[in-house]
Amino acid sequence: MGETKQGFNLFKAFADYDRRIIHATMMIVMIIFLLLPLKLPLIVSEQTNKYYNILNNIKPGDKVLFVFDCEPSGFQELRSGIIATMRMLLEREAKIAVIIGVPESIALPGIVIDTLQEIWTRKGYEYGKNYVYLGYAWANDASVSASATNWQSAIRKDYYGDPITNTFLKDVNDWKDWALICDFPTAHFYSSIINHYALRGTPLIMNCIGVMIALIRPQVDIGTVKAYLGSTRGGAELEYVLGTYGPGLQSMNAFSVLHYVTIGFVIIGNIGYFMYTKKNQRG
Amino acid sequence: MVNINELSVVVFGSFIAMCMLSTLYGKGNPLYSFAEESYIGFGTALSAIVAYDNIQKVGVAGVQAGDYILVFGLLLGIITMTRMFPKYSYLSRLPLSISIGSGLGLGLRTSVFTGLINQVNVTLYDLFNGTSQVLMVRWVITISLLCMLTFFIYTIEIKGPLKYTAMIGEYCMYIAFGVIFAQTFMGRLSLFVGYVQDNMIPPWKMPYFFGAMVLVLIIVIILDKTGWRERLTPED
Repeated sequence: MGETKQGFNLFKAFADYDRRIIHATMMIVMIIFLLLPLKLPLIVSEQTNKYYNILNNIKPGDKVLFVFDCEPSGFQELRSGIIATMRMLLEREAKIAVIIGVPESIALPGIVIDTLQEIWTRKGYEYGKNYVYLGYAWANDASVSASATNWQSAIRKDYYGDPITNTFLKDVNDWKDWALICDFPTAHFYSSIINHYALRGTPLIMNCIGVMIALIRPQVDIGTVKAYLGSTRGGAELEYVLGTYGPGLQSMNAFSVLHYVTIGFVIIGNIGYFMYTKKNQRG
Repeated sequence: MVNINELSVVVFGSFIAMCMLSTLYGKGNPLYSFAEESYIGFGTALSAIVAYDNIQKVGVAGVQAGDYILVFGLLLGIITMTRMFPKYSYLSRLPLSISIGSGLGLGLRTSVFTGLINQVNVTLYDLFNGTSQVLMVRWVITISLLCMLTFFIYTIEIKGPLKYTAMIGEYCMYIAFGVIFAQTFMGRLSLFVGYVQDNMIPPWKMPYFFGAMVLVLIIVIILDKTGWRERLTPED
């Protein structure tokens, strides 16, 4: 009827293309760059160096609390940092107590232990003597507070239901007995650890998800958190410093290129907006 | 050699994850609903089991060890269950109020330091000593803080110099929002890359990953084109 056939308008295409094109492009680019054996440059931040130095100062036999404060949905983001941190603690021959802050994460320590099986075996780690798995022992703020002041009455049994008095934890009484706490948060539970341990003086380091960097950074400034790794990127930097090629460094190619792709889509969308959508709104 | 346990995790995990990602098709579909509700069911069941286990290890084991004060905790826990009986549900407010009160007390006692006093101390402190980089960071933080605070003055009309500091504060906030958004994006991308990486490396996982991807895509397209998608997708 009154319709006229218009030619192809590039700016219109930029303004209202199907968003599934973005999803498909991201997926394809990611798969390609995960498979390509490229090694794009990586700069190690000051925070990662601090994090590394703190771990490097751990002496054999020091007691370290390793807190899986992450939900399974956020585990992939922290996996590289968790594995690299655990690797360093094992190499330093620390005594490790693994604790869970989220009920759904009960199986996550098993994944990390499986990945580092070679070091556990090489270093002769024995359950009870060198490491303990406590399961979901920190259910809320009150339980963290209780364990900071009277560990023996707050946590009596390990994940398997055996008394902790049969393990190296028999010597732990309060917050002073821990040489370090390594926390891996995806939610707000970390504040309990800051409030009841770090504020009292137990050194605390974190590998947090990207969303939480803005929350953790002020805690680093005031010294309650000694150092932090930000997201997968932080984990990859720690792997780089350690000289191990783990999941973090493995993903950095795809990770970097996907950021460029995203910037490209943002530029395309803005060109479409200013050259087509906004012009039509005025017209 | 891949064992059957690991294989089943990869096959089922890839399929369920692809079902979840099928939401990117742009339309609701039964595979997405299946994956979403499975996750809710799994999460709820696991939380219930872990909570039961926790009662055993902390509460019951504590009482057995002679820590009789924990009996009150267990009793309060049982009283919470009265929510299921409308006639006595008012009783459940008691453990809830104790829990909220103790949580607030524990949190506020220390949050004052971590969230306010110590933050003010490091922000408005030592602005003249340190390397040029440190000083620059401190000055930027201090100036942006003061400007942002003037933006939130509501008791007087913002005019004169305050108008400009409030404007600078507003732009500082826009920059901060941009940074937070970028960090959020980086985090979400890390999750996505981590997930795909976990399902593609080592290479024996790849056929199952791509197989699940193609299978789910074909099923969703067929359901969409035949009209079964709408019929089979449960309503919210």
